[in-house]
Amino acid sequence: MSSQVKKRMAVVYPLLVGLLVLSCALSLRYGSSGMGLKEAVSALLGQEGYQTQTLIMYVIRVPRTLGALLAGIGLSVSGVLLQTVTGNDLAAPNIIGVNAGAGFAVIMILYFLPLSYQLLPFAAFAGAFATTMVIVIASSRTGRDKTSIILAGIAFTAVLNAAISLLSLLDTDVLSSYNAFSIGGLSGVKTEALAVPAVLIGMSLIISLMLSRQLGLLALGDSMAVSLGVNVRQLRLAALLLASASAAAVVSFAGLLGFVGLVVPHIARRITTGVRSVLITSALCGGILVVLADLVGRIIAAPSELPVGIVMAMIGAPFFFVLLLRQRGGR
Amino acid sequence: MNFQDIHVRYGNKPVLNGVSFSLKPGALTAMIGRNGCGKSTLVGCVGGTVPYTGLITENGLPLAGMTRRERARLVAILPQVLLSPHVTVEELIGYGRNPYLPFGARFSDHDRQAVEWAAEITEVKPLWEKYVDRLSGGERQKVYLAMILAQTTPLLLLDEPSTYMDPGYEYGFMQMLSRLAHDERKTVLVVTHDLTQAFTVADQIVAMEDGKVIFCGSPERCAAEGITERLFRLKTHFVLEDGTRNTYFSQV
Repeated sequence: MSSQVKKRMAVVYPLLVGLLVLSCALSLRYGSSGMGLKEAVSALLGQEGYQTQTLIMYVIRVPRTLGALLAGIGLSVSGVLLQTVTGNDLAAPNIIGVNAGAGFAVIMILYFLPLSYQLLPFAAFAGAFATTMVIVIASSRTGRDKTSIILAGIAFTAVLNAAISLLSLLDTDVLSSYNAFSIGGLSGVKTEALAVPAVLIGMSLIISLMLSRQLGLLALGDSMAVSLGVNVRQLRLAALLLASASAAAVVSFAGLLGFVGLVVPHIARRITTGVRSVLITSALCGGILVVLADLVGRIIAAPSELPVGIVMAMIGAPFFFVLLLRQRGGR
Repeated sequence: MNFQDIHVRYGNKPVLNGVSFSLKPGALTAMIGRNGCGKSTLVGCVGGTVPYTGLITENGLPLAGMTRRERARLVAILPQVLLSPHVTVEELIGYGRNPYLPFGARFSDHDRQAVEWAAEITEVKPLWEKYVDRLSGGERQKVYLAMILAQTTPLLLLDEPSTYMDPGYEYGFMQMLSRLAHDERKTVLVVTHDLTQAFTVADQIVAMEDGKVIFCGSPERCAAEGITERLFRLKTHFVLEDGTRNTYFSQV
């Protein structure tokens, strides 16, 4: 990180951490059932006389807030890694088959084992990760460069999406269950279901930070990176696996949340430079965005709720567009 | 650095066809030749991006037996196509220290000194906080030169570095390469189409034709042997003015 960016980030990081803490506090405080500030604090501390509120807090709000936080971090980190290794600003987890792979595995379970809902998170993770593996292996046959990864991703995604469409046409019940998964949401998320994804997302972030200097060299082009001592093929493979693990972990508990992995890295790059700093900033911004979007989804139509995926697209996309317009010509 | 019988084929097409020559240590060598004669392919062989048969050695040690990091500590390469990432000049020059940094490590004082030295010697300190994607073509070239100097390698290979430079900027750039060779004792190979600069500044000329080296020696001998006439149908003339050797070319 340059000294100029270091100075800026000394202000921006604490600001983003503060915003993240505030977002989480708001997410715990507000929801479809009314709860005063005192009640919320008492429920969080598990004080006597607040059993109902404590139940709401620990069964609904804490898992949702943690889930939103993890989803934001996981998808943003995945997006940064994918955009860095493919050199393509439009890259997002769906480009390496995460969405199609998870969707295909889920619809297979819904179709062939309709009563096995408990298998869905595992199937989603396994489908997403396995599809990435297939895409990486297929693209390695043609050199594992940036273009072959994208082309292999498009081809495999098309095949899986065709299979998803076919299975959903055969059974309308499957279609409605699949739609709920494909929109993405955090209702019904349980704290226990977040443990493994949290480890995967945390590890992906830590290893990505350790690889950040070398990942930055990919922006100079493959031949320049090679002449600076980087094993480009291995680095690209490692980054793809980390991106896949991180996004697949999110899919396992939140379904197919679009938008975050694509847009958050762009927001981060308008604040800072260098892969390391972009990763940290994206993780913080992603966490803030999803936690707030989930909160809005819960209170805007209370007691009903809007899935976080819809809210994010409705609020986040115009916000991103305004950001683009304001900074037009700035970069 | 020695090149012995280097062969490269793209499919059935031979691109390098038994290239053999030696680079003069602590000197500036200019490589000339028509488009497609294999100059950039040879740079790719040294950089590890083009597979070849034959032997490239430095101090008797074959390059092919070295790890990527060992190679990157020995030879720094400036490719023909340079991208413009959204990073500051300071960050870009810092990338040159990558071959010395273990996994996950931060800069040491020595790394910072190498970066400062590279920025000073290339006179890019005034651009320090600017973004690389906002620099002019010539400035970008200089900043990239600083980056490969931060690699602190004894050998520098530059593939057509003056493509985006105006004549004044190009002259200054070539003079800088000459100083690096003579004052800093770097062995510099520059692939160029600018014959005037090549014959004025370089200590050694390597001429390539159809995947082979047809000449390796001093600019004077290159002119005497009519190499530029053979390659480009241009005759080389040297003129001495106030003790400085100037070069111009006339069409044959």
